[in-house]
Amino acid sequence: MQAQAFTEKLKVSMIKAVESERDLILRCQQGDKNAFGSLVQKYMKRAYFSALGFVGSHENALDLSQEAFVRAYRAIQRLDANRTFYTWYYAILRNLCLNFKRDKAKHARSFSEIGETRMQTIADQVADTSHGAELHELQSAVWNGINKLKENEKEIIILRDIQELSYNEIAATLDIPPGTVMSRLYNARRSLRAQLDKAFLNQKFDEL
Amino acid sequence: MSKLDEKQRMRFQKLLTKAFDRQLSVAEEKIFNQFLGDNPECAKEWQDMQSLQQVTATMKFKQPAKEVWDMYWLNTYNRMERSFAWILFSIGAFLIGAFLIYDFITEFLTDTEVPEVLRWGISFMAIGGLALFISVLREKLFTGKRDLYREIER
Repeated sequence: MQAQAFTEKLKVSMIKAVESERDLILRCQQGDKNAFGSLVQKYMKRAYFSALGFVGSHENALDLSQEAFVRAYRAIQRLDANRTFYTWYYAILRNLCLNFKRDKAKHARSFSEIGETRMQTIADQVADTSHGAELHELQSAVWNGINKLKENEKEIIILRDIQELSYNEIAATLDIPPGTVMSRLYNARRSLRAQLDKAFLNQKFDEL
Repeated sequence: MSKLDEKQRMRFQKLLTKAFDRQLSVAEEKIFNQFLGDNPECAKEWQDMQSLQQVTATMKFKQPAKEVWDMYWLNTYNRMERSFAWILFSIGAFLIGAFLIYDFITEFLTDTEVPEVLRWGISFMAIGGLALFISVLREKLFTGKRDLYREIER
């Protein structure tokens, strides 16, 4: 009975959220910049971290996520108000980041650099112990492994394991069914594990 | 111990993913444990994934400074405004430029009262100046953005 009431409450709050976003999109389409500001503030963190996952540097992630918002505003008339804003925005951001990476392909900063600059790690907190140092080494190895994955594998691992989005949130972001999210995650993690085995790190992982 | 058929394999993959993300229900956990008990390959795969999970669970993006979020919308708004201004400016510059070139060709170059050497001289100068302008503009707009070392203090 209680569970049923909770589910109902959840449904109502989800409908309200969708309605308010729809309202914001409609207001944006009428030229209301404040409404667009509300959408930016709602999604800026997720946008920034997604861009960071793609490009690996704070400045570029900030630059690209903001540029994607500017482009989204310019094209807002084309957005169907019944769609989720972030799914549509994410497609713009993704294209922008991939183009940026392609342009800088030869000189792009490697993903491992994120490990040095933008990651919050347990190793930072326990750096004095040998276990902390070892963990830090493994984290760097995992970043290198992620960097070697295919773009869609890298993307889904970052969305789930680093950004901690739920299956449903990832499904909405990538516009794919939740079942596909799970199978993509499975394949991506297997590829990642294979990358690490290739780097002869299986022994170190097994010691964990 | 039994070899998994395609359907069982798919079921195990789904459960493994959920187990990795700590999303298994009690009923699913029972089935998952059964897979692990019955099949050493499944158990080995889970063991491999668990060690990966232990590392990825510690990897989170660092939050940027609070000011970044405080200024985010303002900076985006400024960019929106500037991008609109640039569009207007570009259209205006294009129209003026087109008119000047048209006027230059139809009025100045065809004016027989102006000495030929002056017409040639001014034509070369105008073409050279235009090429220089485009080159500088391109550098400012594109190369500057892609300067690989712009984050390094010189």
